[in-house]
This record gives sequence, structure tokens and C-alpha cells, in this order.
Amino acid sequence: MTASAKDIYQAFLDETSRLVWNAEFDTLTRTMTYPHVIATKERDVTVEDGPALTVLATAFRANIGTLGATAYHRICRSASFRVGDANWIDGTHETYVLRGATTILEPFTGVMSLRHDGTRWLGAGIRSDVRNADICMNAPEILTTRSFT
Amino acid sequence: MTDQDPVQIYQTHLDTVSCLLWEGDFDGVCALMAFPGRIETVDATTTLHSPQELTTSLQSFRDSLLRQGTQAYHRICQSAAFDPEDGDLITGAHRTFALRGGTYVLTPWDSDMHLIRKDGGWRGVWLRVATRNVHANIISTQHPWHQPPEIGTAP
Repeated sequence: MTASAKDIYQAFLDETSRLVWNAEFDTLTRTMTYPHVIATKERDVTVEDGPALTVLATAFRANIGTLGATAYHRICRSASFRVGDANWIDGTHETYVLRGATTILEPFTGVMSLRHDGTRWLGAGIRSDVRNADICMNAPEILTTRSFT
Repeated sequence: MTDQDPVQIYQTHLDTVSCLLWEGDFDGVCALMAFPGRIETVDATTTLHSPQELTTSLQSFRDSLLRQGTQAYHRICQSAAFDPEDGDLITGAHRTFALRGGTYVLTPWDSDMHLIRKDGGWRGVWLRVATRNVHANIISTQHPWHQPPEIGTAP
């Protein structure tokens, strides 16, 4: 186990970006721990389970598809094991939604935590410095159909 | 109007050139370069004396990306700084990503690049790429000026 926190964080980003892009939501839901919080500038949403995550991820994937994206790319900026509990990694990354060589959304920063469950690293919450209105993830119409807290 | 943040200058140059390359506007790319220029990869090195020579390599590189299924071309500045003895020179490093959807078409690679200020704008003049040329045809192999690798040094 010599992988750095940054390597682990980037590998998680790469895996989950691929799953989101390919709409492999069942597999995506198994990369997370629950409940976890997905936060944007407007609001925080507590994701209680896999089906709830699937609703959000489906909306996000559909939105970037509608925008004409040809790639979804996230790059780790920093990551470190949590002091006092090496089963956690806290980090930051930059998200790029691209069409060709152009970003079609203003790149935005995410702050994410990963938790090791004894077997693998799982997503344990993310805060994105972006308006939800721009990425259409935890949209109001979704919230009204799900009983998120 | 010169932005004095070298990282921002470097990233802007990367973004502008990436867009022009992706659109196949090779004249546009050449206008942002200085000649003679130099490109070094792990297994090929060349000096580019003219926009015509560069265009041939830009074409081969772009063709290679598309042939391998690339749908997005993304370069990110890792570092950039003004040369302490020459305010018209920026030395920097960046990483290149050839993407298709949520996956890498090619293993991302790192590069070092020099920009010089010329005619009021920043121009690429030297690029060292830490990947094998055979992977992406960054230097066209159709050229007689294709050369065996040399130990890379700045011009």
C-alpha cells in the first residue's frame, strides 16, 4: 500500500467519471458510502441510498449530454489522508466539461471525501463550487420526487 | 495589455492553441509559434524552420488523435514562471489529455514548454514531450528532418 492519497483520489475520479459518462449508474452507486452529502452553491442534498444517487447522476449525465459535451474530465488538485484517521482522504479537484478542446461549462472546483471501508475506497460526500442551476444535478423537480433530508 | 500572471499566460496559450488545433486551423496555430522552433519527444526530435514544416506535424498529430478516437483534447498548466533573467521568456510545464467521454484515449503525458514574447504576443518556441512520438505522431514521420533523439536542451 504505497499509493499516495492523490493517486487514490485521482483513480477514484477517473473511475467514477467513466461510470457517469457511460451511464453505468448501478456500478456507480457501489462506489459510494451512504448517506453522503452532495452540495452545490444553492443547497445541500443528503443522498440516502443508491437509487437516490442514480436519480441525481442521471440528471447530471443528461444535462451534460444536452450541452453537447464530448468529455467529462476531473483532475485532482490536492489530497491527503485525514490526520488521526487514515481511513479517510480529503481532497480537491477541478471539473471540466468539454466539447472538443473547449470547456462548455466554466470549470469548477470540488471538495470531496473518500472513506476506506476495509476493502476499497468509497465516495463519502462532495461539495462543488458551482451553481446547481448550471449543472442540473440536485434540481428542485428531483427533490420533490425524492424524500431527501 | 499584458497579463503578468505567467500561469495564466501559459494556460491561455495552451487553450488557444488546443482549440485551433482541434478545429484544424493550422495557420492559426503557426501564428502563435516562433521559428525556428524545436520539438523533442522520447524517440524523435526536430527543429521546425517554418510554418509549413510545423503544419505537416500538426496535421499528423491531429490525424493520429482522431484516428484513435479522441473526442476532446485538454491541456492543463502545471507550473509556469518568468525566466529570472529574461522577462520575455516563460518556462512552464503542462499535462496533455486525449479523451473520449469519461476515459483517456492515450495515457496522459507531461511536457515542458517555452514561450517567448515576440511582436507583442506570446509564442511557443520549444516543446519537450515525455511520451514516445510513435504514440501520437507529434512529429510527422514523413519528414526528412525527422531525426534520432538528442539530449534535450533549450534553444
